[in-house]
Amino acid sequence: MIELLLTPVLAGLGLCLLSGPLGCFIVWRRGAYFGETIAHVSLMGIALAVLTNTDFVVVNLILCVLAAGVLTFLSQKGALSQDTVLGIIAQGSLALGLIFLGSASFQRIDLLSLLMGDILTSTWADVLAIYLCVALIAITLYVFWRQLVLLAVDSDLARAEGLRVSALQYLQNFVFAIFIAIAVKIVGVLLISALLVIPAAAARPWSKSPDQMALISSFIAVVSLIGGFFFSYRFDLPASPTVVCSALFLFFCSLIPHRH
Amino acid sequence: MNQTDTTTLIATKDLNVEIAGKLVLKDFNFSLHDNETVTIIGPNGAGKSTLLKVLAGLMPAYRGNIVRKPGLRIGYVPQNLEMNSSLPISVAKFLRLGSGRVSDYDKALAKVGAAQLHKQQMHTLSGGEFQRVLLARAIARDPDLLLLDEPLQGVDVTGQVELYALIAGLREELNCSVVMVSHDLHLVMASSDRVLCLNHHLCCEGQPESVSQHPEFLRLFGPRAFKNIAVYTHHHDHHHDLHGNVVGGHESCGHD
Repeated sequence: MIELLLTPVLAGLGLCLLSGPLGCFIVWRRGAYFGETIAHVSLMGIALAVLTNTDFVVVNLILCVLAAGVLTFLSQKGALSQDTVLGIIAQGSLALGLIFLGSASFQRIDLLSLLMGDILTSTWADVLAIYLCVALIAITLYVFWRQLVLLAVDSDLARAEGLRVSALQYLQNFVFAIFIAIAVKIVGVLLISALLVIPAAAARPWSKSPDQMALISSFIAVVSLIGGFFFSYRFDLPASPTVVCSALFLFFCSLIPHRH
Repeated sequence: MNQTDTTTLIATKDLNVEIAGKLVLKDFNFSLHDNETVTIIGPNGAGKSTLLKVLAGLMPAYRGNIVRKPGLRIGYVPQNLEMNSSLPISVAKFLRLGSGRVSDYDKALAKVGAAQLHKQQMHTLSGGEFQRVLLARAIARDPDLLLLDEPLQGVDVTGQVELYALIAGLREELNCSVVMVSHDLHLVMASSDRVLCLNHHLCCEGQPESVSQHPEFLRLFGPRAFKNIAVYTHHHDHHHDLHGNVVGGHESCGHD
C-alpha cells in the first residue's frame, strides 16, 4: 500500500509546493483564465501524443510553451482584448484536441482521466519530471521574485523602474506553461486551475505580504493534498477532485472573520 | 538636429505618437529647463498621459526626436495606479520592490510626511496617503525631473492644497523640475511656471495668466472656467501632518 501511494504523494507534493506562488500570480494578475487556456492546449497535447505515439511530456511541453508565447505576443500587441485571445486559443485547441482524440479511437484513451487527472497512476518517471520542473521553476521564481511582484503591482511602474516588462511577461507565462504541461496528466484538464487559484485565494486573508501569501498558499495546497488523499482512500472517492474539494473547504474557512 | 543648451533637461522635436492607428500626439515640440514647473492641461483623451509616458521613456513607439540631458534621472508617478486588494503589501514592502537603497526609501517617505504609514497595507491608504507614497517612491532616487500624472487624483480638497504645497516644496528641496498633468484649473495656475494646453497638438502655452486669456484655451474650457475661481497664491507659515494638525519647523517656512 505504502509503495502504491508513494509516487502519487511525491508527485502531488511537488505540484502543490509550486502551485502556491504560481497561484498567487494568477490571483494578483486576475489571470485565472490564462491557466484554463493552457490546460485546454495541453488536452490537445495529450491527444496529439497518443495519436502520433510520441512521448506525452515532450509534446505537451512544446505545445504549451508555444501557446504561452503566442498568447503573450498577441496580448502585448493589444489589437484584440486579452480574453478574446484566450478564448480563441482555448476553444481552438479544445476542438483540435477532440478531433485528434476522435482519430485516435483505435487507442484506448480514458477521456475522464484526462479531464480529472489520474494522480494514483503516476510513475517514477512522472515524479522525476515534476521535480526537475519544480527545481527549474523555483530557481526562476527566487531570482526574479521582486521584479515579478512589481510587475503584478503595475506594469508602468515596473517599466519606470527600468525592468524589461515584455521579457518578464514572456518569462512568467512560460513558467506557467511548463507547470501546467507537467501537472495536467496528474491533476487533469478541468482541475488544474482550481489547484492554482483556490489555495492562493484561501491564503489571502491570512497574509500581510506577497512572500507570506506565497508560502501560506503552498502550505494550504499541501494540506489539501494530504486531506484529499485521506478522504479519497477512506471513502473511495476519485483522488484529484477530492484534493480540490479539500482546498475549497479551506477556502471557505479562510472567509471566516478573524483577527490578525 | 537642434543644439540644446546645458540647462535643457529634455526636449522633443516633431514628436508624433500613434496608438492603435490613432494619432494621439501630433508634431509636439517642447523643451524643459532646470527648476521649471510645467503643468499640462487639456480635455480627457487629449494625449496628456501619453506625453508623460513618452517623456518618461515608457513608450518606445514614437516618431520624431527626444533629447534627454545625459544621465537624466526621472521619477515617474503613473495615473490610475490601482492596488489590487488581492495582493497584500505594506507601504515599506511596496517601496522596497524598487531597485533603490532601503535607507533612501525611508528618507523619501519621511520627506513626503508619511513616515508613520510605514507598516500600513497599501490598499487601505486614503487617496492623499496613496499619492504621497507614490511620490516618495518617485523621489527616492533623487531625480532631476519629476513626471506626475494627475497627482491630485482621489484626494479631497484640503488634501489637494497640501499636496500641491508639498510638490512645490519638494521641487525646491530636490532642486528638480516638475512636469505634471492636472485636471484641476484652480490650483494649476498658481504653482506653475508654464502651462501647456494640449489637445493632441499643443494648443497654446505660456505663463499661467496669459494661457487663461488665450482664445484656444477659452475654446477648450469655456469662458466660465476662470470666472469663478481666483488664482490660488498660497504662502504657508506652517505645515500640516496627514491628520491636519499644525506642525512647525520646516526649511521652507522662511524663518531662521
